[in-house]
Amino acid sequence: MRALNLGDSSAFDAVYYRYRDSALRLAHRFTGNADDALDVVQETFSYFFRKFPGFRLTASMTTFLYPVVRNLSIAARKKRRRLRLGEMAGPDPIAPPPREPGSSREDLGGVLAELPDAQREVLLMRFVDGMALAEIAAALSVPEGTVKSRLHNALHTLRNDPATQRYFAP
Amino acid sequence: MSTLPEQPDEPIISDTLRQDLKDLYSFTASIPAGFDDSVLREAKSTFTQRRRFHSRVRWAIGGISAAAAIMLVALRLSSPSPDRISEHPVVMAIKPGDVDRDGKVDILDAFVVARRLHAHAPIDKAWDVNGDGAVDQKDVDRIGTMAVDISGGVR
Repeated sequence: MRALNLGDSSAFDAVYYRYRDSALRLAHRFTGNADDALDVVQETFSYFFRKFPGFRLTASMTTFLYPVVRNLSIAARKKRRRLRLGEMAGPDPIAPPPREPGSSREDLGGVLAELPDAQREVLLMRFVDGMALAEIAAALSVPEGTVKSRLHNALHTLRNDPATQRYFAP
Repeated sequence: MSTLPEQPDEPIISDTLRQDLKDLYSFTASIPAGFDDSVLREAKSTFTQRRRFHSRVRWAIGGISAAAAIMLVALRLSSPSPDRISEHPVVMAIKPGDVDRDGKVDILDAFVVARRLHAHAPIDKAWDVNGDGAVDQKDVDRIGTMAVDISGGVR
């Protein structure tokens, strides 16, 4: 961050390439569209770099980027919906795309699609994005206890659903 | 995003479930040529503009502060403090006819001279405003005339 504040060109490159792919993956999860995801990534880093010089990062970079990507993705989705007026609404972007009918992943996708958004989001943040509970709590601006509760409830659903019970077999 | 070790008080899932979750949400985008350069070029350009702006703001604030400091110093020099007055006492010229030395000639000055004359009290030779060598009623009249003289302003 110090190097960024000093305008070190290589620091811009390092931060961008370190977080680009995770931001892109996240943006794609929220928008469900590759082009929109790229736009979101561009806007995200544009927003981030506009804060320099004089920016102090008080949380982890992941915690900082997550809500930015999320909010920009929601805006991108709304924009795309407006452009698609009159057309059929697409699938819920945060739900996994249907694939491999009859496979365990397809079953998992089905159960995940039934989860409340807040529970699914926490589950993915923890086990797909690899974020710590404290990071998730900070990124979502909720208490850590809420994160634990949502995670527990999501896993409880997976454990008790016949389609995903096998993941929890001893 | 960073991979952090699971904390002891949080649920643990099987490797299979973790892998299937990752596979479900895997996304490998083909990033268009020039995309990265475009993002980084814009970032660096914005940074340069913002740094220039910050620099200008700092200069402006510095300039304003310097101007304010100069004005304060100038004001302080032009309006001497009581200490400076005591170091360099100002000698005020006493106007002819200003008997009570209040800086102006008014009817009170004439009244003071008249009373002193009437009481035969000691008188100051400086009160001889008509310059005839004596302080008498003519000087009282002269001071009175000076007090009501409208050519120098009404007193």
